[in-house]
Amino acid sequence: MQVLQYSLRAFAAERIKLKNSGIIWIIGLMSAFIPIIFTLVVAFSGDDMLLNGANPWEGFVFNTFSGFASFFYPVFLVLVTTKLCQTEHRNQGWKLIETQPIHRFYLFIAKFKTIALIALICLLTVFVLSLAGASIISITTNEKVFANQAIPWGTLLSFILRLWIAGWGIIAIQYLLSIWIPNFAVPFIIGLVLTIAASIMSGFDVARWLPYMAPALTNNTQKGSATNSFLLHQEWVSIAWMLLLLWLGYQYYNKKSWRYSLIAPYGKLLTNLCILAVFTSSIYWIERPIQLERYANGTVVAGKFTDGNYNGNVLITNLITGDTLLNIPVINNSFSGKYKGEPLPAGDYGFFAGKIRSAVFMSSNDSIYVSASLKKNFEEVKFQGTRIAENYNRGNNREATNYRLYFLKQQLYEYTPEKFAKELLTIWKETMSDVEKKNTPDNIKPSADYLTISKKLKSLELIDLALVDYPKMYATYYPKQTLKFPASLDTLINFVSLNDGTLASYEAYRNFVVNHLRKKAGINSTSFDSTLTNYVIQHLPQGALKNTLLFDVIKQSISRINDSTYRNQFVQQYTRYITEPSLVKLLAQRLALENSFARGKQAPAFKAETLAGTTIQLSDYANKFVVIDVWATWCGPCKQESPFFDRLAENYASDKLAFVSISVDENKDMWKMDVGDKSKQITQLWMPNASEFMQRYGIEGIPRFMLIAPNGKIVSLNMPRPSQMQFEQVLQQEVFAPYGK
Amino acid sequence: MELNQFAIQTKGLHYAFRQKTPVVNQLSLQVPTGSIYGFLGPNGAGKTTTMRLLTGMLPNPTDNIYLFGKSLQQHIPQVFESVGTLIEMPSLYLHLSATDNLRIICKLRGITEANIGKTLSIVGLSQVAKRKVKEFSLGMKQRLGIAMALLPEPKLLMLDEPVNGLDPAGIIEMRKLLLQLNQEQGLTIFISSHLLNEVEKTCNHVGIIHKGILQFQGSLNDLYQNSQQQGVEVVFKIPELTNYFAQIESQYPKAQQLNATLLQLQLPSELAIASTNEWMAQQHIPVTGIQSKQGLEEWFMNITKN
Repeated sequence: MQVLQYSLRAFAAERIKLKNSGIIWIIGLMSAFIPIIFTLVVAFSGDDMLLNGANPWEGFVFNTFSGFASFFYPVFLVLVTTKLCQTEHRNQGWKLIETQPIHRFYLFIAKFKTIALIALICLLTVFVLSLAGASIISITTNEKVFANQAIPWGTLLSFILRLWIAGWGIIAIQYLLSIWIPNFAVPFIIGLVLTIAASIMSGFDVARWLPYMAPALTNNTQKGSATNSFLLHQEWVSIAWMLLLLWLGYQYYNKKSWRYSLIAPYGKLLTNLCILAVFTSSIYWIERPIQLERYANGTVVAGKFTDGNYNGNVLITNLITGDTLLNIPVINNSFSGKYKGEPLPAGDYGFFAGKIRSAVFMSSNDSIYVSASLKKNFEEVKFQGTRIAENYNRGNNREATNYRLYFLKQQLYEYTPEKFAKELLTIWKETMSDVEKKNTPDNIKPSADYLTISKKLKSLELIDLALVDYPKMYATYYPKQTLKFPASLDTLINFVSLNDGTLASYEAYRNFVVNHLRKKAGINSTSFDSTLTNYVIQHLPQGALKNTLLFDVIKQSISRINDSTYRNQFVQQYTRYITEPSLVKLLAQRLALENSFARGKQAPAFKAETLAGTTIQLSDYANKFVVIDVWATWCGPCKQESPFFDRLAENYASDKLAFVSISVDENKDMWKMDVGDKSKQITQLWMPNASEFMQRYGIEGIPRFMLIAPNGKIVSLNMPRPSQMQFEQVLQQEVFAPYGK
Repeated sequence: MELNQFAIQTKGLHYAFRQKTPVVNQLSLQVPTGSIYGFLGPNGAGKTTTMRLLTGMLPNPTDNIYLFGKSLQQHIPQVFESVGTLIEMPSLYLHLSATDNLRIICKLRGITEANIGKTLSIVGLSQVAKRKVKEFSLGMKQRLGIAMALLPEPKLLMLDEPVNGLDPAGIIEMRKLLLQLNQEQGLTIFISSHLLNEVEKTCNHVGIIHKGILQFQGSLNDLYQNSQQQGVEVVFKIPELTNYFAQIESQYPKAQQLNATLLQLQLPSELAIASTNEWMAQQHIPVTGIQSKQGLEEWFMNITKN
């Protein structure tokens, strides 16, 4: 009780000192600046990009804090701490308060608490002002976007709380400096220099141990932990720094002499060194990356669905073969299944549960915990457990543009082979160390298998630059010279082999291999199919990669080869080199489907919705030709084709030929909003079971244009695009020519 | 119990900045409870350093300061319950009003704010209670500083140069105030000063420090006696002195004629002035003025010279 009483007394005295101190102005100016600027920028630029994301309130507040947290906030803390201590130095307040019957500990802590409270008030002011800014934006521009979403108080306030805590370390270090150095300018400048130095050092690994980086790191993890813990490592680091520096600061404050507080008598020195060691090692311990262990007792996938109900099964599949590895029933929105088959190599696997279609990085002996949200139109899935770091990275791999690489690519001709090699290796090293740095907000480090795969995938582009782009440039500019790279580049070039089975499931790697094989074999892109296939068969050893590559090539050839006899022959000739039965089976299915689309065969039936809400099916067009455009609102190329299709519809729509657009959008409202200004000659339809429809028609990419004759007979399920001359030619030949069928 | 007769006692207090010549050297102060103790010394003698040591503001690893018989080191900060201090410049929050400055003391000590008005009127600042201290004159600040020391009704008051910056009227008022507090409330007052005159007028106990060393300590009377061991110089004003000088010289062989009317005599003590004057009257020597050349000051100057 005594302790509380003394704390309250000291704190009450501190509060009186804040009167007329101008602290309100400092809080007001520092906290209002960014929210006001940000609101004005959004209001005048009308830049909705800033509001992207699930919730515009959240987006607005987070964006505001992004401008505030990493620099303004530390400077604010430095300023306020120095100023409050300066009040004592200037007015000789120390000797007044220290000759009162209250222990210096309470005085010391009370001032720290006051500064911390001011910091919290400042953060809350920024928060309130940014909400006010968001309200202004919502009234003036995006009313609907804001009105549909509630303010996510929990997320925002826990972020602000974490940001507050992340500032404690800075306050403590500045408090020590300001008590020690009895003027304003020197500690303030030191604090400012340290803040700036930390932000310059932010690229270096050591920076995350510094208290000055904590707010920036908290800001980088605005949404908080991926494992439901409240405080993240940088906040714990801030707390540890705070404890260390408050202890150190108090030692000095109590004795007003470093010598008497830490060294003399010498027995003290040992104790103090021990305390110092405990603090520093705990700071080190907090910041160490966590490496999760695999479990030896099998591969488990479990999880739960929230924000809705899901009654189907959860499927874990092989992404290439489509084989189902695990089929887990969902009971009461939760599920759990154990995998018992062949060992799974580390890599991406498919995760399917109704509308949620995602990839998950895993291997044998992993325990994957899945949290899937079924919130309408915002379905999302998070993978935790032993592969949390790997899957966090998969989901958050938005990367900043590498400007060095960009300039190198733009100005290849400026580089001699030596300079090019040097620059490329520098970029490579940076890229590799960036991969290493991708820890989760909780500081969990991805495991070695994932890092190796990531590093190899990241190197592909650079190797291509060295082996494809640069030689091409060189041959153009210096036709008479032979290109010779320095030997140092070999490390990069040999970093990824052309026969790496662990990368077989990654399309980027397969494209890379195909490109390089083609280059080696001297195959140009027109004489593709059989030559390349033969080359793959001859030069690659048996294994996952060879299977997958052959599968890719054959699958592409199936839709490429028009003549059905040759197609069947081709497939028959090469599939026998594939040793994976499920791939062979898939190719057989694909071939059968393609054959069923031959001219004159019956097109698969479909039903779709009109704008008026009625249902239309293919058989409704039994007595005319119908040309179908398969598209979606999110598909850029589809929109490019749209005006051409419109124009053709205006010219050719008649009782002989109907124009139909089928949207495969998941969101019906998006479709409705988008079709208002299209030609009235086109019947606009929305496909409720889009994925089933696309599968039945063998559609793997849109836009797709199809022509179907009366009675549902196929003319072509893969027409040229309307922007090409041939499209109109096909229409004229097939539909309007006097000998038309 | 024996220790308790001293409000402040130090035993060989020693302090040196950065291992150089000590600023305070083996100082053993004994400030009797209930006294007004003048801690006298020229500028730089170590007065303020001593005051800072007495209030625990300088690090002092040795347990050699006792307030009311209790070790300062062991009883800091509870010991300040009964101590009010004003050291060097008064510590005032210039951006706050006089009342708010006093309220800070109340908060820190957990005492009632009811006495603020009374204390301000004691030091004559009631009219400006709400004004910001930065608008105060030096004298007003000094008085507010004393108010802050007085507010908790201490038993011991430590004041460093309390009349600094006060005008003559203020000095007299301050003197009255201190005497009143001492007599009415039995407050022990420890004042440091470099003005002998001031100490003589206010204090009943004196300690003289020079170069960190205590040169004298005792009551004011002890001080006088001590200072008069070498006698006093007295100047008599006698018109037509030349006529009487031979007569005087026969009685006082050390007599000196300063000019036509001024005679300087070396007397053993101030008491001798009266008898000398009586003798002059008997001899019909017309004395029109007597001036004692302040032996105390001379003596003080002497011991605080080099």
